[in-house]
Amino acid sequence: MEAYREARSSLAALQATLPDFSTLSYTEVLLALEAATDLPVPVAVPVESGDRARLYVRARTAVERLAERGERLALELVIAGLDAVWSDDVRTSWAGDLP
Amino acid sequence: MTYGQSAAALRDALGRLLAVQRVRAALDGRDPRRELAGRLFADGYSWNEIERSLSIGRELLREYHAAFRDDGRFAAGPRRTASEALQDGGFDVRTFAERDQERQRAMRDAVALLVGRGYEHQQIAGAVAADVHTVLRYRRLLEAEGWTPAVVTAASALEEAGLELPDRATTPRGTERSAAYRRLIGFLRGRGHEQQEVADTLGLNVATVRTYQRRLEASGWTPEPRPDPAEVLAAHGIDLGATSLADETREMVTFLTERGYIQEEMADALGLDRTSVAYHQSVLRDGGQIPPRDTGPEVPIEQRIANLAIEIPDRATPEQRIATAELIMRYRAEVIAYLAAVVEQAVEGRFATTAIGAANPAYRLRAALLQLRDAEDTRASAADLGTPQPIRAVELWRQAAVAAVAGRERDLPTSLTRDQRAAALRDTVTALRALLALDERHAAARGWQCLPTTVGPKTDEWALPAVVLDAATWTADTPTADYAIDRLGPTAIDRLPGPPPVTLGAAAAALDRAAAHLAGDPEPVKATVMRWLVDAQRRIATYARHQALTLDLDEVAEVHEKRYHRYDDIDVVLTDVAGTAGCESLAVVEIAEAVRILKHTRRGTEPELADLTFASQALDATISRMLRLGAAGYYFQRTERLAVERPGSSLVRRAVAVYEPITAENNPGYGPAWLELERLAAPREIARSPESEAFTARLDSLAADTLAVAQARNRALYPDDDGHRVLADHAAAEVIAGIDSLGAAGAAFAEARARLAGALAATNGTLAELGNRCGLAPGEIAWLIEPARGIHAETVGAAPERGDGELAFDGGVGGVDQTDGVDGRDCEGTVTGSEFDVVGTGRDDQSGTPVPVGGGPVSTEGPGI
Repeated sequence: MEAYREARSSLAALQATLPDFSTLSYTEVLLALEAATDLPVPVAVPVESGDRARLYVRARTAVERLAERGERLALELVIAGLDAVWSDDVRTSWAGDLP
Repeated sequence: MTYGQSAAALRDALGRLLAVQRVRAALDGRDPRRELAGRLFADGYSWNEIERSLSIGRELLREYHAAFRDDGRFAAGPRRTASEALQDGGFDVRTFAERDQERQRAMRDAVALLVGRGYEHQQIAGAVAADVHTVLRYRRLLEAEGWTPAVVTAASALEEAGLELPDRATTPRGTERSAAYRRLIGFLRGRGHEQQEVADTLGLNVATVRTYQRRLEASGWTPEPRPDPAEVLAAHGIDLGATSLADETREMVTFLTERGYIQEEMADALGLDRTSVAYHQSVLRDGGQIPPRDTGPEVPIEQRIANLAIEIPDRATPEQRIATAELIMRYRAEVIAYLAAVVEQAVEGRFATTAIGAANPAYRLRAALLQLRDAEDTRASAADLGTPQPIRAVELWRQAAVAAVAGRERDLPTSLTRDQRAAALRDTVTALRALLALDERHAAARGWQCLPTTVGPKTDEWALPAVVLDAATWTADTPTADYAIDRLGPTAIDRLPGPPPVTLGAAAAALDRAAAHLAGDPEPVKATVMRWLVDAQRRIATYARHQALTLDLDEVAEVHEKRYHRYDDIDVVLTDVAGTAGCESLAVVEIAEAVRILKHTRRGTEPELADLTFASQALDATISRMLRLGAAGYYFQRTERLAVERPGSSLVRRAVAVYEPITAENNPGYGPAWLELERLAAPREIARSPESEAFTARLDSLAADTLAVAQARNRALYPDDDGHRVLADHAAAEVIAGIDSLGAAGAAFAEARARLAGALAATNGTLAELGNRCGLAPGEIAWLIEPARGIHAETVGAAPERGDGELAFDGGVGGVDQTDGVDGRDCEGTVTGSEFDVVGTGRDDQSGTPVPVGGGPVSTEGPGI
């Protein structure tokens, strides 16, 4: 549950760091995460959004912790989705938009 | 297994695969070679040796080494950088360049000072802990920079000391002058001046100086010792340390080498090149300060590895890697085939045009999967699927493929509702996404062929990831997905390896499978197979009846007893039936299995017996159907005819077998036999449905209407006679419900009439008297016994008293005859004529209802008694 909260918080913070009208969306990862777990959805807490890489690592670690005991395949796919968005994010050097 | 179980197994295997790929770095940590390498490091084997014996790259070995040190397995404890370690060891942690510069500065100062002090080069070298050549080099460097040594000459030394040269002119040769020279030479030599210099300064011959010195020494003189150059340096604040820079560096190298740091780290910490570190290490090894590089412990490393007994997977050759990739791709083909089978069930494939279909994400997914399936030409063989794989990832692929094969061949439901299709499609999309992700991660593997990037018909191609993504979105939009599909599929008990358990349930399962096989056969089995089947069924019925009796289930025992008799009949009927057409069925195997199991089964349970009964009845239905179909062209009746032959010269009559179609004439029992069997088969349970319930309600209301009408009529008929009205209502209800019928009621009426006539005859009374006794009006009685009177009028006079046996085909008439025989003479004259007329006319008018009989008593009373 704590991991779920942390994952949601980090993903929300990551989404908040994207510029408006971004093609990339961490929200989709968030929705996929909600679909992949049947836990009650916790409230996202504000986290420090200064270091994006740290946010990414936190989110990924939290989902990995969830995957240890949740439905594995769906959560692994969530991780894959997060990685995809993150790599695009890095590739576009945080412009938030694909070329 | 059900659909849900195999799908869950597939999902689980794919999820684990993804996880394995994700934490591959962590998995490397679990690589047994890591542990082994660490142990070997700790045992002191060299890097080269470990690298060679474990056949792993230097990079990986370095990681293992670092990880091993991180775990605190080496003496130095948890990992600290080489600099930190040096600091802990009390070393100067500045870089080599810094230390070198400082040392050079100090050396120059020291050399300059000591040279100026007139120390010999050898002494200086000893004081600064360097070579003589080094001292000379420094001196030369200093002189090249324009430095000149502030040399203390013998003259200046004399001047400093206030000593004067003896004047040769004034001082005569003799003891005084000799004493003066002796004193001066002793002073200068004690200051370290050379004999030549002393000679030059004093204006003497060198030999003379030497002679003086020898005499001084002979007299016990020793030169005043000069201060140690090291003291001089210390007095001037120059600290060069006791060791040279190289020695210091080598100490550091020794320190770090002993603690397991590698050359690169040492080089970083010391500010040196790696080769310099290697040079220092080699020097140290030569000097024996650190253990030699390639001579580790006494035990050969191979022996040591064997002693540690840690399982190491063999390193794969490129060919093996390619073979593994191909194996995984075969497993992948199985998974894709399963997914394709699911979408074939779950997605409607018929669209008016391809364009309309292509607008549907599910259709695109279907087309893509079918194309992927058809593109794969090699599937996993049984050996591939059955062999556990040593590599974890490959094993997980195998598990996924096994789940896929099980799901495709056994567990896939054939008919799905719309919502169940959505659920199946969602599973499929998830699995396909996992396949794509794994494809990406395997892409770098040797021999791996990725899935095609584009799929679809020739005219328009779709990107595979886009197809999957669209389908995922599309399935996510169907919240009504019905996961009851997870419970669909065959529920038969999984066959475990080895002989099946000897239980009634196993027998029931075998029979169930047999029924499924047999029902799936398109045509009747061959006649011989049918005879075998019938015989086996007969035996199974015996066993089942026995089991039912053991369980005190008499109804079930009765069912099986009936089955036994039916099959016995069929067996007789089939005695001369033959035919080669038809098929052979796997059901035979299963039924033989069931018979074998039943033979050894001790005591079953009631549900198991119920299963067995159901399976048997399913078989009954199929067998009776086959018997019915078989008469039309499959089975023939064998009869023998006598034929006349002429084999040689004489006529011979010989029996010849003739096969004819089965008819009621040549095999009268055949038709009834299968009909009886069909009647025994389990009645179909009609599921409750709104339609059937409405129909039932309608029938009930109709019956109620009819009953209401009948009750109204009865009320009109018996307005004040409740007893008869209730009786009439009851009879009406019975007729309406189908329990009673008009014919039966009529028969009962005839019987009642006969009983009445018999009673009348026996009592020998009048109608009125009888009426009073039994609560009827005399007219009614007259009407009731009227037919008896008619018969009597015609026949009774001639009828013999013993003739009732012949005439009595009906109870009513028989009774009448008896009546006549007893007291016909009294009654016939008085009652017969008038009664007959009255009742006859009245009956015709009143159309059979007893109501108008009420008029009867008026007419009967007169002629009556």
